Amino acid sequence: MSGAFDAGGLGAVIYKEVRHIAREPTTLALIIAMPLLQLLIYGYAINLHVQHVRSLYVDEDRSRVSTALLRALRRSQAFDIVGSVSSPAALQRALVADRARVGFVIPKGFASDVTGSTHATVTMLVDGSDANVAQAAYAGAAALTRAIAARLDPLSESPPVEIRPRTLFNPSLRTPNFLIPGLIGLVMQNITIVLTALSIVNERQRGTLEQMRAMPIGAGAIVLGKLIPYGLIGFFDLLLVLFAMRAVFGVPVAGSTTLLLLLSIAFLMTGLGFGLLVSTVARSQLQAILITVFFLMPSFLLSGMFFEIDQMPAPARIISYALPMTYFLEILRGIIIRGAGLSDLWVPAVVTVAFGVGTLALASLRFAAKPT
Amino acid sequence: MRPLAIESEALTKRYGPNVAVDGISFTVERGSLFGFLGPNGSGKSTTVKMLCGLLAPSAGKARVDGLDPMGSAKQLHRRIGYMAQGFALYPDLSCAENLEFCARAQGLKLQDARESKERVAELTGVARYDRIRAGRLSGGWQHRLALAAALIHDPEVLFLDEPTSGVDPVARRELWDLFAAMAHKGKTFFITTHDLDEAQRCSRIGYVLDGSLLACGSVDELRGGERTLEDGLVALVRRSRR
Repeated sequence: MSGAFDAGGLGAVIYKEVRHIAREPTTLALIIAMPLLQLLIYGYAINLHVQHVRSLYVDEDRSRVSTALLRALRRSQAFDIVGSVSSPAALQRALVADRARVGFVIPKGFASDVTGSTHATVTMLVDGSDANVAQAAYAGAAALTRAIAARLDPLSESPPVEIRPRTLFNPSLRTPNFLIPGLIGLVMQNITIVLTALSIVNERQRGTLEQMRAMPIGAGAIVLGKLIPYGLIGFFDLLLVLFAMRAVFGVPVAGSTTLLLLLSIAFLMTGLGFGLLVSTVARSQLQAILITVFFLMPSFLLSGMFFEIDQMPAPARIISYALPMTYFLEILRGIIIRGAGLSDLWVPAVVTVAFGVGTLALASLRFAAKPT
Repeated sequence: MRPLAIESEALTKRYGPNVAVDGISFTVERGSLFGFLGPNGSGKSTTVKMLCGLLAPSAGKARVDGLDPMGSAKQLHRRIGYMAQGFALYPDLSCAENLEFCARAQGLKLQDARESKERVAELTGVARYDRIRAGRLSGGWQHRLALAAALIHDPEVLFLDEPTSGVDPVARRELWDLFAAMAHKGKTFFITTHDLDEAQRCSRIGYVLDGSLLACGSVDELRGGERTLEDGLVALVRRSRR
């Protein structure tokens, strides 16, 4: 080696490197799109101040007083009344099915309790899956109680109406119970997309894909032969995280594990299909990784994994509902935390299966059209 | 005249306005060594890929062992061996594992696959490196391994794309001796090369330049009265450019 540092050489290397970057349109696009997308998501879509929690109610009193209370609930920033159900049991089922996060039960005799100076109590059922949402509901209820008291009897010591919260599903508001089910989806998605895309791009670059095409295997068998092992790896990781979730973090599966595993297969198909799709676009392993990261980021931030989709502005919600992860997350949390069954989860279940079949079919067609 | 193994009729490949292969016609007899000679980028690999059913021609047609390469790709792939340019096997797998994969991918039953693997490993000499990872072999041995892989299913016609480029002289001599011996036993070889010395070991040569077949015939025919093959080709190319 001649001298350790040569300024002219340094300039040459930098110049050459810039040319490399400028020559790859995909890389260039990602350099610009990646920070902008992150900026938009963090700056615009994510809102940690939880408001307008989706709520249902049961009005068993049907009085002028209960109607007035509902009016106050509708006016509050904390809650969004999205409908009513006929009984407390129906309310609980609606929460299991994720039709709302909060449910109010106004009992019979509520009006006479209020006027007759007895303690009038409204029960608030709270879905404890997401601690942020639950705490926003508690705070909203407390504020509402104070406001009612100030209006009815400013001098009274104890408030005339009490909203008594009862937290369902995750009563101690533990974070692992909320995050680990979501993590299962993330792990499965990342591992299948990255491994599939990289291994196929690798074979294409090395020329072994073309070599296989010169054998009587057929494109279909090549694709399946590549996807099945990575699908099994994704499934193995699912079992691993599921086991650790119970054994290490003490999070039980409230619903049917069989249903969870079956729907996971559909979700794995989406990951595999997407990996295959990436491999038909990416020209190098680096590009495959960049493209994957680019698409994984929204599914990390906008799927409801950490931040409530309800709290996002409409454009961000559109992206949320275009992500397969959003639906699978609903399934995971539904089954694991709330004990939901297929009848509660049929919408995300159908969407997840459709995504799985659709992505895999589209990717296979693209791969078959241009295999090498 | 012996029966034909390969027939190419005005085979053409266009990429937009660029013509990679421009209406190439030739025939290759069964049991012969056909050298497809030409500089890099002259369309040799593209022609091989069209003949092997890996690339659809833009125009013209071909028959390999009586089959249409695109129409009956699967049947064709059972009867031909294809050795791509560069080393297209798995560097992280051992020689034996690479050959076993190729044998199974060719549809051989487990026992047949094992026997075939032994046979080609013995024939090409790679048997001694059975358990060595392919990525650790020298260039010459990698080429032998790739040849062994192409021979695994005992194909009738072999397409070898630059099978000896970058190989030491001894390995090169041995590989060509092997090609000649196998051709003598009835196998057909279609070998691309840019090396004139190698081409002279072929029974017939096709000379391609810029996608066109300038001449096709025996070494003597291509020499065309000049002292050496090189002189003959120089004269040929100059005439074509006039």
